[in-house]
Amino acid sequence: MFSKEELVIDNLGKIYYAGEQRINALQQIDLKVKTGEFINIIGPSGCGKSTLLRCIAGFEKPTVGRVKVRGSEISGPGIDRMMVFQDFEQLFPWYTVLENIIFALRVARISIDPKKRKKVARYYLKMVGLTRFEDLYPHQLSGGMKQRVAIARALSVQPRILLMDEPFGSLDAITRFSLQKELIRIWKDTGLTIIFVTHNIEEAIILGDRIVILEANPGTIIEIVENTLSRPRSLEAVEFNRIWEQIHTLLGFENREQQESGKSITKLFREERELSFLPHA
Amino acid sequence: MKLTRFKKSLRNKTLNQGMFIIGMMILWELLARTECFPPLLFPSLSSILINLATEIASGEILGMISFSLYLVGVGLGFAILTAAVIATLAMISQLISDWVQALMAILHPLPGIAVLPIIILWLGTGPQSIIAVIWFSAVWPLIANLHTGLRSVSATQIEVGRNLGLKGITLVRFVLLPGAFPYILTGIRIAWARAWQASVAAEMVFGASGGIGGLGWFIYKKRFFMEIPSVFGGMLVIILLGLLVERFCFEYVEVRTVRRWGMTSE
Amino acid sequence: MKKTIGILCCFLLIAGLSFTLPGTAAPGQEIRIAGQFGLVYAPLMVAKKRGIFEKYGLKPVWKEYGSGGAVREALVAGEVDVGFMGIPPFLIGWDKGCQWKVAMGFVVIPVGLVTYDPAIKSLKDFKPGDKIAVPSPGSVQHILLAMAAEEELGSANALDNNIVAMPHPDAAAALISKKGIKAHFTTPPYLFEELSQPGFHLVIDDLQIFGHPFSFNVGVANQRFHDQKPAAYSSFVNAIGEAMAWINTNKKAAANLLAPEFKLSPEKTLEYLTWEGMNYTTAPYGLMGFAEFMQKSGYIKKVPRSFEEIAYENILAFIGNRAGVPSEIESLQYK
Ligand SMILES: Nc1ncnc2c1ncn2[C@@H]1O[C@H](COP(=O)(O)OP(=O)(O)O)[C@@H](O)[C@H]1O
Ligand SMILES: [Mg+2]
Repeated sequence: MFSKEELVIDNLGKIYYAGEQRINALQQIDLKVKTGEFINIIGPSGCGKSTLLRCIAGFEKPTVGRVKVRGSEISGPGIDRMMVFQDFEQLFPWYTVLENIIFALRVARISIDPKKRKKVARYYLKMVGLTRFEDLYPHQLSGGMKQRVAIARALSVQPRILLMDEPFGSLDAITRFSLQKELIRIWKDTGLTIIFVTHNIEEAIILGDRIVILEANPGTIIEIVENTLSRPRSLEAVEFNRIWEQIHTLLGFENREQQESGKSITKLFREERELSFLPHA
Repeated sequence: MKLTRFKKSLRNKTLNQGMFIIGMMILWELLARTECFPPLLFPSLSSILINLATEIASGEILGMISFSLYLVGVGLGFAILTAAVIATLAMISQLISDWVQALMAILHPLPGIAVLPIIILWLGTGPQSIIAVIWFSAVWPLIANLHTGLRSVSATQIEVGRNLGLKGITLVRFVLLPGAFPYILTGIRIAWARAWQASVAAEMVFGASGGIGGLGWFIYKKRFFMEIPSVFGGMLVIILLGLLVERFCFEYVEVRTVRRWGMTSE
Repeated sequence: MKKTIGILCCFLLIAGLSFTLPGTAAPGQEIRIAGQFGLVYAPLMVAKKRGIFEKYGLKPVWKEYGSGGAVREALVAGEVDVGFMGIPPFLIGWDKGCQWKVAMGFVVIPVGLVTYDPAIKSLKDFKPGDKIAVPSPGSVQHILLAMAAEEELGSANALDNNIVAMPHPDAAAALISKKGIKAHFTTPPYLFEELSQPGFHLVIDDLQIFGHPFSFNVGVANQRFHDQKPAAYSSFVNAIGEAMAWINTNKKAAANLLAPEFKLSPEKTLEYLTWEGMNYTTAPYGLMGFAEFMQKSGYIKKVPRSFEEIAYENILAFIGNRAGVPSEIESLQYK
């Protein structure tokens, strides 16, 4: 199904120095991502998920190892790898929704003609369902809407890889669910490669083809779980629960009590799902 | 929609303040007419306004206003340039940032007018000294605000900019400056007020001026010729100009930028 | 016990003393004087130091002001009864309706325009950028400069854009360091100090401009004070007269008395007091000369029709009113 290797991470290591302290944020990370693949990265807080993504994006220089995109080593940030952050403040507040996207198109020199830029920007706004809000300023949007605009902006410069660092992490469950659904749709439509960081097991299972599980101190890959569940994925599926248990155990929750509470989270999530049939923006 | 509501509240505020000021003016006129105070020292508002009208008609005061504004413009312009350079250097190097902060802590509380004697010794009397005092009064609040402003720009927004391929000057132009704009605006506002005060004070305290002189010199001169209504007239002009710039320049810009963008704390 | 009684007695004594203090003081007439400091005000300082006011039954209340402008404003506001100022500032106030008149002449001193620039030999040599410092607009120096400008350059306003207002010490410092100003129109002791610098010279002086000596300062009393306390008024005039007479006859002693006040050596002080042209006298000179010029040049709107409008009876009596051709002292009031 996946032919070429889009992204190769080769023996990546990242060490931070915070004063006297030496933080081994990432160590010996090896990962190959095929074109069009949807990868999830999950792990406890502080295990280096963001660091990994930032190394791929080119915001951080690896201490050792390489990041290669389609055969050539990256040297810095680029529009072929667009990042979507968890932070709601990632939109430029001095531009309207539409202007934010037009600005991205302009500086990325995607289209020269201003009229065409506007058309392109509208196209991506439509993709995330925000056509009616193009003239609002970011401060007038809800958190979910902001994240949609951020996704639209990232998509507009036609990256090959979309890097998403817990983009739905600060959203309520209902918004989160609908955005997950839309992300899958967009992914299918565009054939993008997506690397998606989350700390939510359900989210990882719902979205990814493979789930990379990290552990902290030092940040290393402990397992890569294949997820071949057919989409749309149902939380009810036996396989879903099997993967859930597997990840849960890998993340170190072996205590039965914790498992119970984990299951009840699943249950809660199921209820949220039903709620999510309510109309949304 | 939010904007129109804001405009409405602005109009209301203007109305309230206008009424208050008119009340004060009436009180002034009445108080002056009772002659509780020597009329020479406390002239009636009407005499002040009549005087002012003739001075405006004669062109005397307009020349002084433009001279004052010219001095403030030049001083403020230099201050903005200096602040931009220093704040940029402070952005680049932590060492310079520390120095700038130390310098700011020392010199910011010093009123510009207090350095006038030294400036006169160095630069002599005349417009260049007044410009220097204006520059000194304006540059610290500008640096302080620019410095904090640039540092307060969202790290995420900077990274979005870098992700899109911005770096160096373009990153400053498209992300850092607009991101720091609320602070920049505040800085320029404070700097303007201080520069304006300094220009008047410098001319009034030392009568140091060149050519026709500005509003401070106008007041100073009128005081010595005991033309007290003209002294009040000069003050009135200073107040009005300050108010006009605040209301019609800064508030105008603020409503169209920072408030529209939701970048204010309120 | 004895001790406590002793202390108690002490307290009572002190209390009793302080209670009776106002009663024991001389029942003098209060006069509020705008006190100023400097060579010009030597008679005032002498009168103060030698207790001359008290001798005349006056109880002086001193008020200090930072500038001539402030003294004049204090008089207008009624904060003080008497003050000293140049004839032009007095006339400006009179023109604006201040209720005051000249009570006495005060001092005749040399006034001169000093420069360090050898190229400047007369007013014609001042270029547009050359700054001339005067103490303030409307001061004696300013009006003298305007008089000279009218004479030499054809217009009283010819040098208006060259003028900067600076207090004497600042201007003297600026001139001596040759920074900012080209010339300083000033009085002793700054005049002496500046002229003692190598290359510094007079461009023009008061005698060349006015033609004869004039009162650099006059004593001005508020009409209300003059009318309501005639005894205090005349005592004040007489007290100043006595102080002046003492200086004029005891210059050495005066120098010794004033030297510490001026922070100068007695020799230097004596040198200043005896400088050619210095004259402490209650006789007024040049009252009308200034008024006529200032009116003609637009600094004031009207000219006194008679001395009565600007001077009190002691001055009127002093100047006199000769039938026929005016007397010499009458003529000296004109330019
Ligand atoms: N700029 C930095 N300087 C020093 N330490 C850092 C820096 N960024 C991250 N770290 C450290 O690296 C580790 C991994 O951080 P991060 O990648 O943000 O974790 P995660 O996103 O998985 O929560 C953490 O221990 C964090 O404290
Ligand atoms: Mg993170």
